[in-house]
This record gives sequence, structure tokens and C-alpha cells, in this order.
Amino acid sequence: MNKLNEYAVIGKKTTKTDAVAKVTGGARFATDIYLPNMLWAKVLRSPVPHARILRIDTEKAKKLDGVKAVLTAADVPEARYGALVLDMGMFARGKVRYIGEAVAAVAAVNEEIALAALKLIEVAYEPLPAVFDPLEAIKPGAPILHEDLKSYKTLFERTDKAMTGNVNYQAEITSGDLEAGFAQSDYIFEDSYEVPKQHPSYMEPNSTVALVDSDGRLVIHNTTQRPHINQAILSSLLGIPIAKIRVVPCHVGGGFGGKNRTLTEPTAAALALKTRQPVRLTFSHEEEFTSATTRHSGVMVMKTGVKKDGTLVASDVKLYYDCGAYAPTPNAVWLGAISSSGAYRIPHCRVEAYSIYTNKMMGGAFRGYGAPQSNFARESQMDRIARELKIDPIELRLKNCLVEGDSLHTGQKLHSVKVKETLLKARELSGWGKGRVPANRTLGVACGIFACGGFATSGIVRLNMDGTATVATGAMDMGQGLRTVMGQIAAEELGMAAEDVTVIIGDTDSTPFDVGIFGDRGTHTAGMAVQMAAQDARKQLVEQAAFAFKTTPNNIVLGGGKARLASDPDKVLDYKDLLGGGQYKKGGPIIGKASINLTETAFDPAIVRGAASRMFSTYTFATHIVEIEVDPKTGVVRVPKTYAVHDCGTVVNPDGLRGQIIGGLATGLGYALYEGVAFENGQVQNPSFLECRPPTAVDMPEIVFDTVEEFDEKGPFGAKGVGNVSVINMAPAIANAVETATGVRVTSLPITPGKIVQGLGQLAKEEA
Amino acid sequence: MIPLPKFRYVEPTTLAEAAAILAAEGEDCQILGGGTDLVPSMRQGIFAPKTVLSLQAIDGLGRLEWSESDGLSIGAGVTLRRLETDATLRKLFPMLAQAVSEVASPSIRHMATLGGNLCLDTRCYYYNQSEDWKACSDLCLKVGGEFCKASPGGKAKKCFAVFSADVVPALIALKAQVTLVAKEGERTLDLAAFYSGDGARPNALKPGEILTGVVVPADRVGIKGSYLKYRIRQTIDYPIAGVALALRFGASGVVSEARLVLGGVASKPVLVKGIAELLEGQTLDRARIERAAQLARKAAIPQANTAGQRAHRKQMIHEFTTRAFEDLAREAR
Amino acid sequence: MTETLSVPAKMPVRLRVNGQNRDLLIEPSASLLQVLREDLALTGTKEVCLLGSCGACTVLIDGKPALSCLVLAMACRGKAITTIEGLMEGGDLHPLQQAFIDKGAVQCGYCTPGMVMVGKALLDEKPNPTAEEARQAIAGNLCRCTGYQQIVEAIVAAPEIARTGSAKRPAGLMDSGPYLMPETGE
Repeated sequence: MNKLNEYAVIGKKTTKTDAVAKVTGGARFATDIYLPNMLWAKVLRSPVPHARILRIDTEKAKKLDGVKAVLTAADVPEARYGALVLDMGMFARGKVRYIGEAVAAVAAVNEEIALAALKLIEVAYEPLPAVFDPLEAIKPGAPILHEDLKSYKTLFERTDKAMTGNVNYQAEITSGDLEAGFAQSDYIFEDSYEVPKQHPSYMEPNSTVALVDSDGRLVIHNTTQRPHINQAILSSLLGIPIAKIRVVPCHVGGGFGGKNRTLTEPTAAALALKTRQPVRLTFSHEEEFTSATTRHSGVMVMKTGVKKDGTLVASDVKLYYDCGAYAPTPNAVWLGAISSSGAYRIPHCRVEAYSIYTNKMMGGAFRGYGAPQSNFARESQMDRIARELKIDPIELRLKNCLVEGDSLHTGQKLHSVKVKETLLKARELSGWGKGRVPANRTLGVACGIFACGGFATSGIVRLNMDGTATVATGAMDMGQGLRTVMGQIAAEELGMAAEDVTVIIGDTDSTPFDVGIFGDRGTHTAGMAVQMAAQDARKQLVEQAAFAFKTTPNNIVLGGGKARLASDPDKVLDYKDLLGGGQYKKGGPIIGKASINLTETAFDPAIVRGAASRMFSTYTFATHIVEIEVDPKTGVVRVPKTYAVHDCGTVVNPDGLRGQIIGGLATGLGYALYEGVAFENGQVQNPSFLECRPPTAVDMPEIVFDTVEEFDEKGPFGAKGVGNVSVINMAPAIANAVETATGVRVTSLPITPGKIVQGLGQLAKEEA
Repeated sequence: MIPLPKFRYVEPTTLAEAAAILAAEGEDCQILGGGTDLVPSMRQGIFAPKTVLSLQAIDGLGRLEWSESDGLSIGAGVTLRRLETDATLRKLFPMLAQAVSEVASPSIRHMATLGGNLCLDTRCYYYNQSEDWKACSDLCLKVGGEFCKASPGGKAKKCFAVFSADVVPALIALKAQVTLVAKEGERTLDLAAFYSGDGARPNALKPGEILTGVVVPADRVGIKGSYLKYRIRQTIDYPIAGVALALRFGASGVVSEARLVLGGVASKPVLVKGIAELLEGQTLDRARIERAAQLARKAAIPQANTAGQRAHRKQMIHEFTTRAFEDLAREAR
Repeated sequence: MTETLSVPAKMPVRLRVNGQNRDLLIEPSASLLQVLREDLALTGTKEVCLLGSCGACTVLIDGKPALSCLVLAMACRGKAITTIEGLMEGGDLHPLQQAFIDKGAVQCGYCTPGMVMVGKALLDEKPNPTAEEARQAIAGNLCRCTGYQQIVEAIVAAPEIARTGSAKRPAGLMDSGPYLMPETGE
């Protein structure tokens, strides 16, 4: 299946297009924009977790010298937005629901005056009872966050339990016969797991500069994973036609899902419209930790039935994900449900997944997108089963793992499934069971599945008269290298050198629609559209060559920037000769295009209720084996080495792939050992990198990484995604290794030394 | 960028000049060393001084001198990076170099000064926050509220903010003396006595006084020392439990001097009581080491105001004390 | 309120940045980071945490890495400040910049200037650092994209690029996109 050797550009080292700008300091981010007459916006935020707003008085603030505008909910249209549940407006209206919620915004001539003006805004609150725990929030009598929930517009098929009480989104998956499954099982394991919120911790804060141009159009310079959706949301929130809005994102200083969001744009836009001056709104570091979005915290209850020989028979999973006060992306709950059966064949399954409101900061998208939570539960429990049944953990996984042609519990039939191969290769690399590991080290394994690609996108490929190409995609490059990879894909398809292709991204004026880069859509889905557009252009180029050579198209071979006659390879024309001279080319300029939606098949309603999407294009798989050292006296865990084997289809850009995988492992390591947003009465206790602790260079293990040969026929040149699945295995793999090393099973994240030592019974009772 | 509060910046070139400014300005003046503690605190609005007085231009505060008569004299302005890499210091007092190398991150150590580490403000979840953050609930004692919110039950009238300087436990274990200079003159005291134990006013620095440096007595050469630090990540983070142990061994492995100091588990560096009485004149054995570890554990009073479970941090003190003794006993053999 | 908003006197100050003397009028409370970004339009140095806990604002002061969010600009008089914009020599990339490109050490690029600056300081001190030394040197600089491995490899690879003179001359440096103006003050 490996076609790598046939490719000229795919799989070859290709320099990242934006690297020079980024190593010289020339790269302009949204935080680097200073415009003439630019105003600075600041947001007044709720100091209370739940309260009725009795009164807002902005008069004093408006009178402060240098203040140009003050806005509250009363000044903007009463419109709400969200991915599935339209529950959030630009400002709190009538009520505040979490500490950090936007109540008012100020635009002033400088930041100091804007900050001073915030202090002059008087808000009278009437406190309401608050709820911080998702399991408390679904109990009868719990404080209700959204009284009018049922009336909110939704973009999914509501189940009975959805949009009622504090549950917004809900999904159910039922396959096989659960009761029969448990009846057939020799053992039943039932466990509960808990995970905290994890902050995406992109380095660059959310930031937008909004202005109204001389055409009267709203122009947005921002940092985002989804310019076209920003454009649509701004249109609906502000009542401006889409064509009158231009979103031109800058370089994105990391997103990881956290910038698959529209947070600073509407406020900056509303202030710019009001003042008719450019307005910049940049989140402070603290606002990032109180008022942006995080990975959902949650509780996973997992009941699994197993045969004596380790065959998984039945699984009953309940996911209670805490989405905070609003649900900008409850889709994560749906993806959590999909990943909750792991990369396994389980004939009888039920999953109930809930997205639950609490009076805390919002849960949203973050790399792994719902799967790190449910996979922590699944893969932790798999090791418990292996231990109880005295089966080697990798053997247990091999016995149950999905293979080509299997169906997921959602009923979706799978193709391109190489999880078994990742398990085998990781086992071999790590020397699992071979006694090669030093005496003070212990191995732990986890594997996982993540949905890859889908939804709508489009691409345009223009051939220029000198034989170069200009590609346009609405997809964003958050630093992962999408722009480079799109160029590689187009170059390969067109038979050009990578440097002869220029890729335009993001700008909604010059790129066609894309729904946003998340869920491994970049290389796979945006790449597919670019490839198809390039194929369209290629077809036209072949026809042009056939015309020039006075032959038929099937006698034309393209490559190396030249067209040749198959029947007489010495007959050669450069692309520039075909296209140039070319203003006069027959049929006019060559433009290739493609519009696709890779999620068009609905799930079977007998199996899935409340799906947040149609079926995904494909799935990616990975096995990670960690080599850890645990100090049994202190509980301190170090991870000196990690083996990562991925089923990612064709490798398009080797440096990029490596960076994606190691970066994903770093985020997984932080989730496992260090990170977690801590709350006290709904207030974030640790709103900074200093206290939330993303891993540093010296915390990282040595990474041994490999891929398994695979070609996904639905991806461009056989490629699949890799960004998400690289995150989801570290926490369970480390928890599994910790149990092997110490006998202590840690069922909540992060896996702190204190939990391990407590499990070992070494903490004095009166002190604990 | 969130601006710093407005202040006047002064950079005197002599200590006398600095002391005069400080005398005139009193508590409205903050002393700036490397800035790694003061500047973020000012950014959060914890301090809004009228004047910031930088010590960087003052001659003599950058001294790092060893003499067999006077010991090791370190000026307040010496950077931690310089201490960490100084060959003499590393040779004579490896524990001190070790403790310095554990502070924060390499870039911070290039900037941070000894004086700043000695005067490091105590830290707490309720204190090291912005004004907006603090406005969400009652103020804590250290910023003018009624109670210490980190104290057990949240009702103590004493501030329990945690002392988190790595270098100080090592220096106290080495019986360092600290010099404070004011317009009226200078005074020298044991570094251990410099710390109050009150999180709200963690040290004995009086208005108008400048910490100018420390001296590690010459007779400390030959002391065996060990500094062990517990933090969540392996860099950047403040200690949430730390142990500095200094031992001198006499003939046939008998302990002739013993000092044990804890960091990160109270509002001051804790010089553990009873260690000398327990060990001096004795050889180290498992039982005595365990007794010492228990004394250390008891002396640690971690609060829920930084990372880590309180009970676990006490356990870390117990374990680190044991290890420090075992390491030094092994070295002595 | 009016009192806290009154603009205090700005001070004339001469800073030596990337080899050039820059005469500025600044507030005494301005951080070096603020002056670099907002007065000198040197926006390559990034603002992230303002607490000294991320390394994104690292510059060199007299050749040593410094977190410019923690440094007062007034305290930098008479010192040589080097920012990411000042690393190129004669239009060629610095070998370390070239190494970052070659090794795929750049993803989103927001940590990159700080990483390059601490790497440069290390290379000036130890011309042939080991991977472990490189890893320790960047310990205080956070990166959420790369997992650090390729950054470490880039620092280790830089000396070879210097030896072979293989750092390239980029065609241009200006990023296309929205214009940027240095603040001219009120």
C-alpha cells in the first residue's frame, strides 16, 4: 500500500512556509497590530458565580476622559450563538452565570484609561444559589442556570434528556443487547473516573483588532482556527450580511481547539462599529484562565462485561461532562462518547453522554476533543481487567482491538484500521515483556481511537501563466504547518515543485469556505479539497497540453513542471509555455475547484440518538507505551521515555508529523501529571502558567516514535490526521504504569504524588 | 499590556545615598533587585510604591569574596547564576550551590539576586492574584482582610502565606549572618532570626533598611550539606517542601554539628528544634535518622495555599530529611 | 480616580538596542518589554504571562538572557539589549535561526523568539552544547506545540551550520498583512 516512493513532494522534507518570519521576529500576530487611532478594549467581568443583574450604571465610565464607548447587553442585539446549543450572547443579559463572564466592555484611547473606566461601571447583583459539580447539577432541585433552556435554538436532534434542567446536549448510543451482554459475561467491572479541566495553554492570548473600512465593511484581524465561522457568527450577532464582513486572521500563536472559538471578535467588532475607530481587544493572561475555554472536566462511570478469556462483551458508559456556564462546543461530549469504547470491538454497548451546566468557566474544544476523558476511563479499566484476569495488558488489547471492516459501537463500519499494528510495533520497540527495562522503571500501555476529518470545506487552485500555482483554502494554519502541507498536496498533484505553489489561507475575502480546523480536519479534509481542486486544474492542464501537442489527453504525462507526450517523451513543453503566452490561452485561465462535505452519511437512529455530527470520514489510532520511574516513598513520577506508534496514513511532512506527535504527548503528559484548573466556589484558583503548569523541556521524556504503513483511501494521498490521538493515551498509560509499579490505581487526574502515597497508606491520617 | 503602577525610579550609586532616599520615602519605596519577585507583584497590584529604588548601580553589592578569616561574603546584588557557577562557592559550599541551582528557571537565575531571594515575599493562592481576582470574595488578611483564608477553617487572625525561597534554608543551615543597613547605621543578625514567621510581614526588615548581603562563617567549611527540593515540575516552580541539612562529622563518624532547615512548609524557613540535641555526639543510625525525620515532619506546617496536598508535603519533609541524612552519612563514610 | 490617571513625567532615556542607540521618552514604570513592543515596534519579543513563568519575552541584556517583562526599561541604560530582530548579520540568518528552520523546530512561532534568544545565550557561552545542556537552557521557556525535542535538536545543530556557513539569506522579512505602527505617544 505504501506509495511514498512514487511521490516527488509528499513525504519529503519541505521547509515550513512561515518559518523565516517566525525565527526573525517578523511574523505578525494579532497581538502585534498597532493601528493609527486604535482604541483599546477591556471587559468588565462578573465577580460572582451566579446572580441576577439588577442594574448596570455606565454613566461615570462614559464620562471618563479618553473613553470612547461603553457597551452592555442593552446596547447589542439580543442574539445568541454556539456550535450546537445557541446559549451565549456577547454580554450577560439579566443574569451572570460564572465568575469571569463578560458584563460590559469599554473602548478607550489607551489600556490604562480602559481599565480605569471598568472600575467606574456600577453593577448591582442579586446573588443566586450556584452549583459547581455536574453530578449535583443534574439532581432535582439543583439551581438552574438557563431557565429558558428549552426555548434555545439547537443544531442537533434533541433527545428526551437534552435541553432540560442543567443538561444541554445529550447523546445516546445503543448497540447489541446490553442485558444479554452482561448475562454472557463472566466478570463485570464497574469503575468511576474523574478528570479536571485542562487549559489549552496556547502561548498567544486571544486577540482581535476590529475596524470598519472605507467601504463600510467590518474587518477583523484575529487569531482563530475558523475565520469563516467567525464571519458567520459576527453576521448573526451583529445583523450584518456576511459579504460585509472580512475576517483576515494573522499567524495563530497556537490554538489546540481553544481558538476554535469566537470570544474577542464580537466585542471588538461592536466597539469598532460604535466608535468607527479600530479597536483592539486582547485577553490578559488571567482572562485566558477565567474567561476562555478549557477541556471539559467530568466524571466517567464505566461498567464492562468480560469473558474469562478476556473477550469484551458488554459496556455501559455514562459520561458526565461539565461544560461550565455555557456550552460553546458540547461536540466534545459526542466525541467522548465515540471514543468511550476505545479501539475495541464490544458487541453490546450503551453510552449515555451528558453536557451539564455548572457555574464555572466554559468547557470547549481542546486537542483530543472529548476523548482524553473517556479514553482515560476506558484504558485505565482495560488494565484493571488485564490484572484481574491475569492477562498481559497488550494481549488483552490485541484480543479485542478493532480490525479492518469492524464496526464501531455507533454502527459506523471502519476502514483503514491499524491499531493492532500499532500495538505490535510499540510492544516491539519498548521491549515489553522482554525484561529490557531497567529495574527502577516500569512500562504502561494505552491505545486509542479518534474520529478524523469531515464537514464542509473547499479549495481553489489557480494556475498562473508562468507555470506556478496559487492555492486558496479557508482552513487555518495554527502553527501545525497546514499551509505547507496544502502546498505539498497541490504540488504533488500538479507535478510541480513545492516552492512553485503559494497557499493563501484564512482571509475570508480570498479563500473559500472551511468550517474550521479541528478534529484532524487539516491535512485530511482541507487537504482532500485542495487535492480535488488540483485534480480539476490538472485535468484542464492536460487538456491544454493535448491541444498543444495535437494529441489526446491520455497521451499526456505531467511532472517536474513539464508536460510530455507518453508516446514520445522527448516532446516536452514547460507549464509556463502551456499557460503563458497565455493570456490568450484557449478556454481562458485555468482554475480548479472543489467543494466537499466529508460527513454526509447519517448514523442509524436505532443506534445513535442525539448525534452531534454525521459519520466521520475515518479514524486514527495510536499506541503509546510509557517508561516511568515512581519513587515509592514520595510518590513522585518521572517519565524518562515514551514509545509512540501511530496509524496516521501516509506521512505528508515528516518534520511536521514528528512535531505534532511529540507536542501531543507533551499535552498528554501535562494532563496526566501536572495540569488542572482548580476551583474554589466557582473561582479559578490557579489562573496562570505558573500555577497551572504546562510541562517544560526538562519534564519531557525521550520519545521513540514510529508509524505503521497505511494508506487511507479517503484521505489525500492516503493521509489521515494525527493531532488529537497523540494526546489521549498518556494519562491512562501513566496511570497503568503507576499501578504496575506501586499497586496503587489512581482514578482521577492529575496523577499527583500525594494520591500515590496516599494509596500506599503512607499519609498519616490526621494529616490527610 | 497591563501597565505597572506609576512610580518614580531611582538608581543611587552609593549605599548612603540609597539609605537616605529610603529614610525619606519609608514604606512608599520598594527596593528593586533583579525584579523577578517585585515586578510581577506590582503588575498584580500587590504593591504600588511611589518610588522604586534599584540597587544595581551600588558598588559593593556585587561582591562575592572568600577569605579564610572572614568566610564567604556575598553581596545582595550577586545574581543567582553567578552563585551557582562560582567555582569557590561550589567547592566550599556545594549545598549552597545546589540550592541556588534549584531556584526557578535558568533565565530567572540570570536576573534574580541573592538579596531578592532572601527578601522573597511569602506566597499564597489568595495573595498572589490580581485585584480583580481578589475582588471576587473577601480579602485575605495579608491585603487588609479579617482572616487568613488559607488557614485551617479560614478563620485565623494570623497570615499563613508560605515562605518559598530555596537559598535561605541552605544559608541558615550554614549559620549565615545577614547585614541590614539603614541611614542610622547597620546591624547584623543571624539569618534565622531575620524571619518572623508572620506571613503578612515575613522578615525583620524595618522601613528604611536595606539588606546588603550575607556572610557564611569561615568555620562552616568542611560541613557536609544537602538540599532537597520538592516541586511539581522539574523547573520554574517554587518549592512546596524543601530540606537543607548541614552536618559535621568528627572522628569515627560521630556527628559534631547538625542543623536542619525546612522551606516551603511554613511562613518562614523552619530551623528544626531538637536536632542538635538528638544527634550531636552520636553516630547516625536508622533510629536516630527516623527520630530526626519525625521532628522535621512535626515542625512542618504546610497550609492549603500552594500546590500539593498538605499531608503529602509533610510526608515529603519526612522522606527528604531521611534521604538527606542517609546521603550525608554515606558521603562521610 | 483623576489622581491615579494623571500622567507622570516621562523621562528621556537612551537605550542601546540591537547595536543602535535609541533616544526615547518613557514612563519610569515602563517595562523593557513594553518599550520594545510599543515604543520601538520590535514586536518579535512576545508578551504572554507577565509573571516570568513562560520565557516568551526573553531578550539578551549584555549577552545574558533576561525576561523583559520583569525588567524596567530605566534599568537598562548603558546596557546592550539584543532582541530577536537583531540576530541576523549582514542580511543572513543567524545559524541558530537557520537551525530552527531546518529542524522543524517552529510551529506556531509564539515561543520561538524567546527560545532562540536563550539558545543564542547558551551558544555564546558553550559553542558546542550537548542536547542535555540545550534542554536545561530552555527549561524556563514554555512551548505548547513542539514538545521541545526539535528545539533542542536545533540548538545542538547550530554550530555545524555556523561552521559550514550554510545559514541562508532570506528574500524578505516583512510579514504581509495589517500594518504596524510604533506608538508615538499621546
